[in-house]
Amino acid sequence: MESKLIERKYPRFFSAVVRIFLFLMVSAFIFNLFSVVSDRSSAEKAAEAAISGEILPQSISGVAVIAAVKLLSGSLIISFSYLSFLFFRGREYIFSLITALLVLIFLISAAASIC
Amino acid sequence: MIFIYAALLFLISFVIGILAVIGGIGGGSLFVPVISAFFPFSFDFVRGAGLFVALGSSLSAGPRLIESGYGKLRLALPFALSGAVFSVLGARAGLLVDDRIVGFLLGVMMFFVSFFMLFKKGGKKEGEFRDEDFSFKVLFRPGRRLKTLSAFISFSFIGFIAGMFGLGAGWAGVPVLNLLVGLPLRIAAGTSNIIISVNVSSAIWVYLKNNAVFPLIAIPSFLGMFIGSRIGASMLGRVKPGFIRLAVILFLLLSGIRLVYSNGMFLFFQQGV
Repeated sequence: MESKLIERKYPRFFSAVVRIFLFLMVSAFIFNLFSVVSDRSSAEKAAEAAISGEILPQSISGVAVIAAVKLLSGSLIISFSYLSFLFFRGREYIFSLITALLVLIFLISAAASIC
Repeated sequence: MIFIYAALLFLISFVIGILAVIGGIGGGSLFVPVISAFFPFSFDFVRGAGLFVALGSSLSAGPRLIESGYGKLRLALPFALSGAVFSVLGARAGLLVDDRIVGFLLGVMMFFVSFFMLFKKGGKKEGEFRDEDFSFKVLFRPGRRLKTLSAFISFSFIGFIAGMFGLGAGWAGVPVLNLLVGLPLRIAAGTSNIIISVNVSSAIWVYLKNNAVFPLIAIPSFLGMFIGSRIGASMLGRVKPGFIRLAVILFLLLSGIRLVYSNGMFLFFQQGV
C-alpha cells in the first residue's frame, strides 16, 4: 500500500518541480539572448569565448541561466529529500538511507561549486 | 556569429534528437562526439552542454517512466548512488586532464560504442524478474550476488565515463541492467534513464564550478534535442530503425575518426589539425 503511494505521489511532485525550473531556465535564456543581441561587442566576445573557452563577464555568459541550471540540478535535491521522507514514512529505511546519501552527495557538490 | 552558432546547434541537436531516439542511443552520447569533432567550440563547453542535454531530457522523461512502471525507482537508487559518486570523480578527472587527451580517449570510445551497437544482440525481452518482484533484497539473494556486484562496479565505471566525457551513457546502462541485473529490456531502458538523471546531476556541479557550462551553447542544444527527441519518439512506430541505426553508427565512427586523428596528431606528432 505504502509502496503504491510512493510510486503515485513522487512522480507528480518530481514532475511539478522539474517543470517549474525548466520554465525558469528557458525564460532566463531568452532574456540573456536579447541582452546579447542588443550589444554587438557582447555577441562578438561570446563567439570568441565559445571557441577559446575563456571565462566571460557574467552579463554576457548569462548569470540568470546559470542560476536556473543550478536550480534545475538542485530540484533533484528537493525531490530526493521528499522521496527520502516518503520512504521513511513507509518504513523502507534502507531506501530512505540511500536517498539521504544521494542528497548528501548533491549538497556537497553544490556547496563545493558555490564556495 | 554567435547567433549562427546557436541556430546551427539548435538544428543539429534537433536532428541528433530524432536520430538518437530511433537509433536507440542517448542524445548526449551522440551530441558530444559529433559537436566536438565538427565544431570549433571549446571541448569543456561541449561536455558541459552534453551533460546539460542529458540532464534535461532524462529529468523530463523521469516522472512519466516511474508512473508508467518502466522506471523502477527502488532499483535505480542503489546503482545511482555508486554512479553519482564516480561521475563526480570522472568530471573532476576530465577537467584536470588535457583536452586533447580526453578528446582522443572519447574518439577511441566512440569506436568501441559503434562496434558495440553494430554487433549487439537484441537483449532479453523478458528478463529474470516477473510481476512486482523488483526489490533490493532479491538482488542479493544467493546465486545473484556476484552479478549484482558486477552491476555495481559497471555502474561506477559508467558514472565515471559520464562525468569525464559529458555523456549520459544510456547505451552502457541498459545492457548492464538487462544482462547483469536481469530486468526486461523496456524496464532496463526506463530505469537506466532515472540513473542517468542522478549521475548527471552530480557531475554537472563540477562543470558549473569550472565555468564549463556556456548557456549560448547549452540551451539551444538542449531545446533542439528536447523537440527532436519528442518528434523521434512519435516517429518510432512508422520508421524502420535499421537504416537510422546504421546512420547513427556511421556518425559515431566518423566522429571517432575525426577526434582520434585531430587529437592524436597533436599528441603524438605535435601537429594541429
